[in-house]
Amino acid sequence: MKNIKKIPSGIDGFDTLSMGGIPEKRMTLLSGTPGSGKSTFCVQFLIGGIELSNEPGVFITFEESPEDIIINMKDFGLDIQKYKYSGFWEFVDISPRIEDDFLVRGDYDLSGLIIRINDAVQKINAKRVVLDSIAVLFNKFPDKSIVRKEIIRLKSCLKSLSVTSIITMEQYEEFGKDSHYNILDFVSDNVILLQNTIFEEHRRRTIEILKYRGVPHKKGRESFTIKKNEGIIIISFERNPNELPLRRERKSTGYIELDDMMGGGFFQGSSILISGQTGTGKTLITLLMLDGSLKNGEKCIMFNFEESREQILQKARNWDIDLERAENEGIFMMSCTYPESQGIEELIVDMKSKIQSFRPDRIYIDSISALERITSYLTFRQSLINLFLFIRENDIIAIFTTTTPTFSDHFNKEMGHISTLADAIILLRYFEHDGLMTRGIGILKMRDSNHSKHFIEYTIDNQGIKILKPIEGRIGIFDSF
Amino acid sequence: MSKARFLLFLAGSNNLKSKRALSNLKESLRNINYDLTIIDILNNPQVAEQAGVIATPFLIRTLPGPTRRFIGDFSNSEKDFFI
Repeated sequence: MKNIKKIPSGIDGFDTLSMGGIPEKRMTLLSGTPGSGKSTFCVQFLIGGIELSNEPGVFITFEESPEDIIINMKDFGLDIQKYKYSGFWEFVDISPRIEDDFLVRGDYDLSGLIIRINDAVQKINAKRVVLDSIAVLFNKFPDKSIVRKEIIRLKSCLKSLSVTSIITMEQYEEFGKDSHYNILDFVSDNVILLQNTIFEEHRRRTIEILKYRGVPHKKGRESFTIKKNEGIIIISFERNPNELPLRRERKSTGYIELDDMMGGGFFQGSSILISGQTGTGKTLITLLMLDGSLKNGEKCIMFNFEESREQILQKARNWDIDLERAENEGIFMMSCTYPESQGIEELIVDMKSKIQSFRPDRIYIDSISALERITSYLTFRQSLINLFLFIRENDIIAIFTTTTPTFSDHFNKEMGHISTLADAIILLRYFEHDGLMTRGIGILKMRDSNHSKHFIEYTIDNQGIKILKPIEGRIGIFDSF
Repeated sequence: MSKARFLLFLAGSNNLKSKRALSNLKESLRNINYDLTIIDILNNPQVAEQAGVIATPFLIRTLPGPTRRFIGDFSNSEKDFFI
């Protein structure tokens, strides 16, 4: 079999999904519902060619005028004008004009289109071409058989020009229902599908490679987001974070009394889940660890999805923790967001870019239960895997809190799945012990390490959390563990 | 009647479709007074871009107004189709 090279797509995450990018010197069909991001994908593909490989590109536009495309893409921080001036970008404008009506008599072909494309490609020595969206030709010209024939001719023209091309198609119905368009499916070696669908009440953008003839690729849908200034970003999780080796170095938890329980501290690059019932002191323990890690000279970010900045600063002040000073010293960043205000994909991308620019040693997330509310379970899990991977790769310690919703459940089903992703789980629980209500802390799991197997009683007073002694004897009724 | 004006865009002048379009057009217009400019877009792709030519053969009538556009090889066309 011929060895088919792939070229970088220019779209963040797509090269992982496609195992290398867009197949070189072939035609790829990009199909999608209206508003699914096809044009943005195309623009990023051309800019990717220019920026990554110094390859000029031609944009053949059938719907929007070149002026509109230039303006729209400015919103994503993509400056097409710049590339036009430097001779790396050429438009072929097939968009509707006012004086577009014509009468038809007898036989015709689309040589005008093909000659113009040919000319534009040769003029700037283009290596990449996009046609957005070619299906418009079917509405413009009455004779569908001519259009079909000409698309096949166009394909061989692009082949002889040795360019890598993407053609887009609006998809209104389920794939393959409209016979006109089957021709596109037929002439394309590769088919990529973009969708913007409602899934379990939440809108979700997905991308999927349906066909890559003779070339390996990943299967299944991945989520993506379209972000201002960055364009399309695919949330891909190529491997399970558990497969990445854990580092052996330990760091203090930040709260000395916990270090012993944890066998000395947290591993570098590990994700720690703190799960607890309401009122067990999750936020407090988080703040105490944060304070300790800041004092140990670690840079930290706290992402908060449940409380306002003022509420957190006030809580911290109650325990003599001065977060504002840490912020001024540049070792701490606090990010409070109301998760309902954006999609989870966007939120994860935003968190990652904050992490990339601030470069913390440790992050605190309070709480991921709030994220679970805003999305379907599948997307929630995918997004978290993506974030865990990113944390591991960047060698950051991440502490997540989650609220156990009822007194009888340790974990609901969802959290059970999340728990397999965490490297360590700290449980905060209420116990009935000798007729008294007490709080207990335990390490449910800590990968690759010895840790205390006891539930240990603790109290909360105005000094903070005090770890007392292992709870012995019969404990129960609130406990189903 | 004042002189009619036509622009005819062809993709190459030696192929069958182009030749047919030209002879059919001349045949249809044989009884009227007109100017015809022929543009071979193979040699002038920039003109095709400016004029927005997609399908060929492509004919623009600029006079008498309003401007009209036609595509095809104009087989079986009468004068009334163009004027």
